[in-house]
Amino acid sequence: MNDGPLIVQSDQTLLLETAHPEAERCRSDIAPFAELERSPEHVHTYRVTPLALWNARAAGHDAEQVVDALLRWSRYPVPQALLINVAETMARYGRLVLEVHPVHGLVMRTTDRAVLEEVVRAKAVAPLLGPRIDPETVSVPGSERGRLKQALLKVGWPAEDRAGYVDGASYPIVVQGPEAFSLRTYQKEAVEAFGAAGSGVVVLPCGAGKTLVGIGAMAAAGAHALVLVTNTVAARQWRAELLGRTHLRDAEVGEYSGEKKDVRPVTIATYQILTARRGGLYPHMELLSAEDWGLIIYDEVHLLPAPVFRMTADIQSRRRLGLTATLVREDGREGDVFSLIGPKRYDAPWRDIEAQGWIAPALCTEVRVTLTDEERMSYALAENEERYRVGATARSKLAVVERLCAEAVERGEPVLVIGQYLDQLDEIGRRLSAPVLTGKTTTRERERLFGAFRRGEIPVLVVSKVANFSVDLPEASVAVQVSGTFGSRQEEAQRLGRVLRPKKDGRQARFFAVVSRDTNDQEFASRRQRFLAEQGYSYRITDAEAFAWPV
Amino acid sequence: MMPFFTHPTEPPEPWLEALMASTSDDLGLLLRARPDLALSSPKDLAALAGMMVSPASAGMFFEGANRASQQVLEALCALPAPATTNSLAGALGCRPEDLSAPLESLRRVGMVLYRGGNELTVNPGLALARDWPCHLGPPLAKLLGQRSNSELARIARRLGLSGNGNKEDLLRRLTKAISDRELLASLLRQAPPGAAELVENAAHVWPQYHITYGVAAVSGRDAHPVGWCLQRGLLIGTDFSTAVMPREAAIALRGGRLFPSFSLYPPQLLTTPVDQDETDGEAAHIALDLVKAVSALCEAWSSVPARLLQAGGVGAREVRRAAKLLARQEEVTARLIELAGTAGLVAPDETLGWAAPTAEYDAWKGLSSVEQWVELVSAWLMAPGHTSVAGSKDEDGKAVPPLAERTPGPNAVMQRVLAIDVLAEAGPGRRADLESVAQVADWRRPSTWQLEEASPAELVHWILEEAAMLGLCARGASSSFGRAIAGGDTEGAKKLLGGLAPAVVDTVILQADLTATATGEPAPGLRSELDLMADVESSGNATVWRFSEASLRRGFDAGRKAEEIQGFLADHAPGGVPQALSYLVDDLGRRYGRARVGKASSYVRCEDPVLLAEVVKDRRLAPLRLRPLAPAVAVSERPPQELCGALAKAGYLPASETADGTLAVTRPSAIRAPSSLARGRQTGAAEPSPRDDDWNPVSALLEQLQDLKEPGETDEELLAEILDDPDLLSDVTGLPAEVAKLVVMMAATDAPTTEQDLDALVERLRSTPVPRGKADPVTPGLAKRADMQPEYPPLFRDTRAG
Repeated sequence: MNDGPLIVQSDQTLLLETAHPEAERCRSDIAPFAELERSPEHVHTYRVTPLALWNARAAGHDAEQVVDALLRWSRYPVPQALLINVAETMARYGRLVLEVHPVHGLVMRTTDRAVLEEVVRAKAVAPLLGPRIDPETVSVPGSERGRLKQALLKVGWPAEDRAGYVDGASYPIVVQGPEAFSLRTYQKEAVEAFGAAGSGVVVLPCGAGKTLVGIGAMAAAGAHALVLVTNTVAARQWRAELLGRTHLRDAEVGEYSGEKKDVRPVTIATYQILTARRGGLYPHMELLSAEDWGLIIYDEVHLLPAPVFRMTADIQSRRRLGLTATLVREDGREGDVFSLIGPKRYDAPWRDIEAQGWIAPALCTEVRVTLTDEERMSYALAENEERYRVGATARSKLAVVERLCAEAVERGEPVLVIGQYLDQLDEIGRRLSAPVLTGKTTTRERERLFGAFRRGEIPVLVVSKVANFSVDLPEASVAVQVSGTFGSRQEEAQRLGRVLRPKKDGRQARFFAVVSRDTNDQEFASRRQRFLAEQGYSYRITDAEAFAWPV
Repeated sequence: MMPFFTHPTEPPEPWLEALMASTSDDLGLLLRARPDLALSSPKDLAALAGMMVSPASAGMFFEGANRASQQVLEALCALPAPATTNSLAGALGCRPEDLSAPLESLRRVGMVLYRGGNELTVNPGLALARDWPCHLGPPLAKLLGQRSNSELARIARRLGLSGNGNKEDLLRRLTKAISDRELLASLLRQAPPGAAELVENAAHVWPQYHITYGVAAVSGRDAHPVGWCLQRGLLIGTDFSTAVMPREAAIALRGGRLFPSFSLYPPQLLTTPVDQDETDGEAAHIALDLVKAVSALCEAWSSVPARLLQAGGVGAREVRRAAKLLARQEEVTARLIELAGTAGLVAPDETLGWAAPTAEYDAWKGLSSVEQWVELVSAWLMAPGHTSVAGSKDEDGKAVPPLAERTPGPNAVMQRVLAIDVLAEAGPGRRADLESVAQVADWRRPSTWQLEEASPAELVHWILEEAAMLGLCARGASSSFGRAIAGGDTEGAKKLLGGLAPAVVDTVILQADLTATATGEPAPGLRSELDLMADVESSGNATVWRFSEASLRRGFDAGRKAEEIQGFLADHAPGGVPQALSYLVDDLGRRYGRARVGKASSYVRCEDPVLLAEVVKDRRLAPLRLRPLAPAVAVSERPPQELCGALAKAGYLPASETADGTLAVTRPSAIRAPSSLARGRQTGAAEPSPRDDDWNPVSALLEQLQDLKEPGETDEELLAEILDDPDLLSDVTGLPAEVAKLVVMMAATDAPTTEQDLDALVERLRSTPVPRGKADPVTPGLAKRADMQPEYPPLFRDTRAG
């Protein structure tokens, strides 16, 4: 027994005491094989999952290193069952290898015949295999490479993919720019980690410059590249970055969206257009195989829609980079990301990056508004399905929002008001004389408003859900959330991402959530609180009556 | 009333003289080796000598002796007097000089006496107690002593001897003949079919032969194997249907050796190396995990007790439920339940038809994990039966239900002690071969393993499986704390386990995500308070709780006030209380009890008319049919609990109030079964709660015996009957026979129990004059022989061969 910073629990969680002098060394040892689940101020929780262990195995760590790290840093005896589980789970990865055979093309080979016999008999696997070549090798139709990996992961024998990648049509991309542009250390590390592997996911928090990692990877690949993003605004954003940060010209960067269908050496497409259906088919999916892409980038990979997964299974010989702030998918399809995009290649906890000064620390405050008697009555009388709406859109909130905005404007800080219900947002816009940006707003108008907001011409901007994804608003140092959809974790990550972009003057970002007391709005707020606190952000709750601007 | 010392035989002179000649050290050794002698507090050496040679006391020593000592003593009982070291060595098949040390040990504990140099006498009490030593029948002279001369002559002639002479001559001649191996061999060559087999069996297995239709019916028939033997004195009829082989014939047929094998030393314990630190780590984890599992089980049963089967015990469905809760296999769970029952933490309540935690569990709950473990281990050690019976499959292939009544095994305690002792003796860093543990344990105390259906190897296997479940051993080796337990050093075990266990902490780390983390074993007070106010999210080496509105509400329900909770948190969180948590507590405190629900009349009272109106009109509460009674009161026809629950579900935070308008403090009441003392009567388990200092083994035993009283019998009659029969005594008490006897003895006297008491007794015995006229107690033959090794350790605690 030693005095280590780590406590290993029998439920496969690891508790890391951050104040311990050895905490950082321990963290770098355990991060490869354990997923950071919560990182509040004092004790971080990691979880050892099969996927995390396989991620580690894919990154070249072996069970001995994992067991060694646990024993070295653990303060108390490590549960034997956990150690055995680690060794057994990790031993499952790589028993099966996908590689290219000089005669038979793509094959699956094993060092353990029993495993091969087991999987060739598995119902989910058998249809994906070709004829048997010898007792240790079975041929695999090239088209099934991705689906086979998916199926093998499901039966618990994840395959190591060593079949390599096609280089794609060569197209040099040189990073340059008006500002002295250079990648930050962690961005460089992420690009290198990805480059060595050829496919996989880089996990970085919002605002940590995932776009730049993508551009770095494109430059390293030096080939035709396809970037898949969540929506048109994000596509324009990527385009602007590409033009600004590389020598690429306007004509070299194409946009493939609902409005334009340009295919160029670097093409940016939205998930929306790819998944648009016509007569039960996905006509635009062909884009994925239309060009000899050397690199495909999946932005916000945690939002990757299921049809794109299916298509991705068909293009396993292309280099693939997933970018995301979180591997957690609300639909639990983390395994598909592992199989089809690739294992995690780089990960840095938000707080660590913040400590390096790249993200402004955010102060989170929940302001509780007491409803009027009338509002309470209408809440009590509401039907179940209406209840949240009634609580979240209570008019009592408006005065608080007004006050918050007025205070922020007075301090010269641009404010973003975020909400779900359009009536409420319109009302706020009217009262604050601020423009309201919704799904109905045209792309041009949207860009105009964002530009004006960026230039400081508009101090307050009211946005609906559409603003949630991949929009860069560098000067929004204050965000006020008035209503939101059922506190999903992703959404919270996005909302906070709005205000976490680096500020030029190092100002602190502020995030306010205005919540109706004693309603289920408050319940959802408690989930948000948990998520943010787990991410390590200070979280305060205050009554609207007692509210004072946080310092 | 006390049969073991109420009728001491008149002490034979030589034994008394030996006692009078012995030193204080010798006397002390005798009394320690045979505690029954000390417990009865003899008034003088004569009384001591009398008890020393009583069959009960000598028999008790024999029962507890190891195989070598038993074989030496039995051989002495079997050999014709006067036995010598040489004749003994011949009968055992060893060199005479090998026997000097063991004989000296037996001499010092009053089992053997030297007379006139080499002549050996065995304790006459033992000779009485073991009247068929080595599975041998009585000597020929004894069997035929009452027969007519003509009958003896007839047998002699059949053996080719002269039939002349008086009875003494005839008996001597016959004895000599049937002791003659060659003669017997030549006889057997002419025997009719079946006779050789019969003789073989009588010589080696058991000397008696049973003929249902009467010995006389075959006695004249030379062609019948039994008749043939009877005519030649190889079997001698003793009653209508029984014939016995004379001792001398059996010895001769065994080739002069009384036992197939004899060894002065126990079998070698086979060991292999193992990493002790890893063993300890694993065992510690198992030990502490077990404690947690037992707690979890008791907590679960506190709210939903396990239903009992009609035939008693906890059925398969309940075991499955518990197994799911504890994430363990059903078989393991059944044992765990049985163990909790053995420790008195849960008990069946036949009247209510369920099993639930006892009041003893509440006391146990307040202990630290390490202490809780020690309680479980102590209970296991003293359990009258094997806990692994629960969950195992019976003859019909059905799982044996835990907590059912079972016949206790009188030897289970001793078997357990032997098994973990021997395993521990493998030494640190050594794992022992299971088979060899069984062999050593069997050698050390053969009586403990006889009369069991299962072999010692099987029994040891079960016992060590149970021990592994407790963390006394892991990977086939004793854990360091398991070794301490085996050595009787409970405090040492606590320290060792405590050193491996997470440190006991009285503080937690509170974080803004509303968790509290104790980075070690939470102190009992801290744990119970946090369990009340938060939900455990992860447990193991550390414990993580999560606060929520619902969990904190439990605290308020239990009567905590917001300031108290704040104070408690501040006191135990050196890192400070996060604002969000502090806000939550205060906010709840403000709102808690705003709506109050009455028990008696089922009303809702609320000082806030708007809130009340809201409550009354709330659609979700429609089924309650609340009617506003006054501006601040509404009533319902539904029971108050339902009302309160519905309001709480709707988020109104109602508080229950008493008739006089104050808040009623309710804490979820935990269900309790009658404590195990009452249950002991049903199962025969008289084991005390080990932390009850006032427990009196005697009164507990007597209490049990009282319960056995048949109608019409008086207590004394029944008691006397039971106490006169050691086997019956051990059966009804579920204690090993020896322990039961000791307990009974302690009842009658002011038994000396401490070392000082013993020393005082030795002094008193040496200074009290023996009331008789003999002048010089020291006769030359009784003096210690010069060639003895006085420092040889007593045999009942053997060292292995060097």
